[in-house]
Amino acid sequence: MERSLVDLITNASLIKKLEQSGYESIIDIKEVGVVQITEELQLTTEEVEIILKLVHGGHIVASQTAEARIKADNQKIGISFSCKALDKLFDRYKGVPPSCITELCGEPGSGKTQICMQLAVNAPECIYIDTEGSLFPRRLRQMAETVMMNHNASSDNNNNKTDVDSILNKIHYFRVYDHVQLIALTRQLSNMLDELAQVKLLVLDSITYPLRTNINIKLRNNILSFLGQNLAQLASRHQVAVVVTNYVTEDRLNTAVTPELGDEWGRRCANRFFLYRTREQRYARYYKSSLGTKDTTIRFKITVSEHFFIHAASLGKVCIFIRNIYRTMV
Amino acid sequence: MDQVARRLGLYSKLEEVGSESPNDILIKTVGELQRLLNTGEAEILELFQAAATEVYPWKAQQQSISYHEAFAVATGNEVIDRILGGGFPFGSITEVVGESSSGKTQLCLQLCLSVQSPDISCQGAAVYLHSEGQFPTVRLDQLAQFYGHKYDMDPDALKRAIHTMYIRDREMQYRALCYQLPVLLARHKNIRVVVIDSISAPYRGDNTNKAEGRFDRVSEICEIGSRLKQLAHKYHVAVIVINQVSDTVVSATPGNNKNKNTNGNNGPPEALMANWMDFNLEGFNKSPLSLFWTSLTKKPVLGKSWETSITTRVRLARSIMTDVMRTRRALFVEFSPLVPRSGCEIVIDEGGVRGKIP
Repeated sequence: MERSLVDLITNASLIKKLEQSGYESIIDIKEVGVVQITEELQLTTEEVEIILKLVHGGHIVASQTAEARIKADNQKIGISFSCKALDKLFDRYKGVPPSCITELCGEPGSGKTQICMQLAVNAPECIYIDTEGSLFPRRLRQMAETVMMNHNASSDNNNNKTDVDSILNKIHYFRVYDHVQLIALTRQLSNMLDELAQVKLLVLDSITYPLRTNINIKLRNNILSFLGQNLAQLASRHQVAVVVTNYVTEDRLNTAVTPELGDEWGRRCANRFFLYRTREQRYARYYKSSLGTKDTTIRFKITVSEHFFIHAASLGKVCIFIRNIYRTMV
Repeated sequence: MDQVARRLGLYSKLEEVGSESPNDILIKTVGELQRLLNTGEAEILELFQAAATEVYPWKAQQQSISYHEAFAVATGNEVIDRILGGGFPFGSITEVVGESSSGKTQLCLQLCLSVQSPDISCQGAAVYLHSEGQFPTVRLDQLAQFYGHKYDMDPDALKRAIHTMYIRDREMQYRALCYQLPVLLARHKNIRVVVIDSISAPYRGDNTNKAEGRFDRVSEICEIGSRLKQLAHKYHVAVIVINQVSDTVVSATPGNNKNKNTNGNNGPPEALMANWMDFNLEGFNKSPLSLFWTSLTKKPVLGKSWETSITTRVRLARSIMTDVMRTRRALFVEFSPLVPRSGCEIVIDEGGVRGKIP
C-alpha cells in the first residue's frame, strides 16, 4: 500500500503545492521527475532537498543540479495568445506555458475554438486534435494571413518572410469522431511527438464532446483518467504546451455554471480559464493558476483581423460583477 | 493487431473473452487487460499500440487544412450571405431556431433551391426531412417558379431534385437519421443539402418527464448529433437543423419590477437581454433590437447537450404582432466559428427570404 505524500512530508507549503497540482504519491513525482516538479511548482532549495531525499533516499542522482536546470529552462517560452493581457498573465512565458495542461471552458460560442486556432497559428509547430469539427480552414487561413502580414511587416530581410501555406503546414490536424478514435490517437501521441520534434503545442478541442452521455459512467471515468494522465505526462516529457477545451454545465442549485468533467480532471489542469460573454464584452476569467496568479478577469475581443486585444480600463470593477454571477466557480 | 496478438500468444485468450476487435481492446484499462489476459504490462502496452495504429493510423489520418473554394451553400441573397460569411457551410451542422412562422421553413426551402443554381460549382440536390405535418407544397411551387425563372431551369426539375421524407415520430426520426440517410447519401453523391424540419417536433409529443426518460432522450439527441456531424463531414453536405424555441421562465422576484421602462411598457428582463447587447443590425446605427426582444429571449428546445452538437446557430426573430405596426423580421447569427455575431432585417416575399438594409 503506497504511503501518501501527506504522511511522508511535514513541510506544509510543500504539501500544499504538491496536492494542488495533483501529486499524491512518490510514484507521481518519480514519473514526472524532480527537476520538472521543481520548476513547475517553483520549489525553494529547501523543498527540493526534501523531495530528493524522498525519491532517492538521500542520494542525489541528477546529473545537473536543479538550479542549473531551472536556469536553462528559463529559456523556454510559451505560445502567444496574440492578446497582450492574456500573454502578460504568464509573464515569464509570454503566452501559454509549456509542460502543463491549460484548460479553456465555456459555453458554445464563448470563443474557445477561436483561441485554440490563434494559438495553433502562433505556435512554431502544433498538433491539433478536433473532436467537434468546429475548425474551419477558411477561418484559420484568415488568422494565418494576419500573422503573416505582421511577421513580414516587422522583418526586414526577404529571407525571413513567410507565407500562409507554410504557417498552415505546421499545423498537424486530426479529426476524431468518437472516444475510441481519441484513445487510439492518444496512445500514439508519444511516438508522434518523438517524430515531430518541433511540435510545441498540442490542442484538444474538445475533450468533453466524445465523452458525453452515450457511454456508461465507469467507462467515461476510465477514459478521462487515462486522458488526463497521458496528457500531463506528454506535456512534461516532451515539454509541449497542452491546451484543452471543456464545456460548462448548469448547477441548478446555485444557478451558476461549473466546468464539466469533475474535480479529478480539474486537478490535472495547471491553468484554467472560464470564457464567457455578457452585454457587449467577452471575458476570460483565469481562476486556477500554476504560477500563483490571483483570480483575474481579462476582457478580450475576437476581431476579423484575428487579433485579440483588451481594454485596460476598469478591470477591477469587472471582477466584482463577475463574481456575483459565477460565484461557485472555484 | 491480430498479428501482434498472435506473436504475443494472446490471440486465443482474446477470442475466448470475446474482445478481438481493436475497438474493444482500446477502451479497457491496463489493469483490466492484465487481469483478463494474465500477462505483463509491457505486452499489454504493445497490444495497445497495435490496436491504436489499426483504428487510427495517425500518418494516414492527418488532414491537410486546405479548403475547397465552395465551402458553403449560399442563400442567393447578398446581404444574408455576407452576414453568414458565405452561406451555410458544408461539412457541419447549422441550426436555425425561431418561433413559429418566423421564416425557418422558408429559408430552408430557399436553400434547397439555391443549391441547384447553375452558377455555383457545388451545384447539387437536397434532402428535406419534415415532421411538422404537411410538406409545404404550395410554397415550394411558388419558390420553384421564381427560381426556375431566375436560373432559367425547369421548375419541375428543381422540385424533383429535392428528396422529401415525412417523419412521423421519434423512432422514425432515429431510423431515418441513423440508417436511411447514410444510405441515401452514399447512393446519391450529388446531394449537398440536408434539411431536418424540425428535429424537435418528434420529441414534443413525448410525455417523458421522468428522470430515465429524459436521460434517454438526451443521449439519443447527442448520438444523433454525432452521427449527423460524421455524415456532414464524410459526404461534404451542409446539414441544416430547424429547432423550436420555448419561453424562458423568469422568476417573479420583486426585483423584476425594474423592467418597466419609462413608457410604462414591460421591457426585457435585464439578465436575458444582456446576452444580446453586443448585437448590431446591419445598416442601423442604433439597433432597434427592442423590437425583437420577445423572440430573442426565448430559449431553443433540446437543451445544452444538443448545443454542443451544432457548429453554427442562426436565429430568426420577429417583432410583436400588433394591429398598428407592420411585423418586422430579422435574422441573427448567434454563434459561428466563421463570422462575428451580427444580424440583419429580412423580408419574406415570393423570392423567399431577402435581407433588407434601411
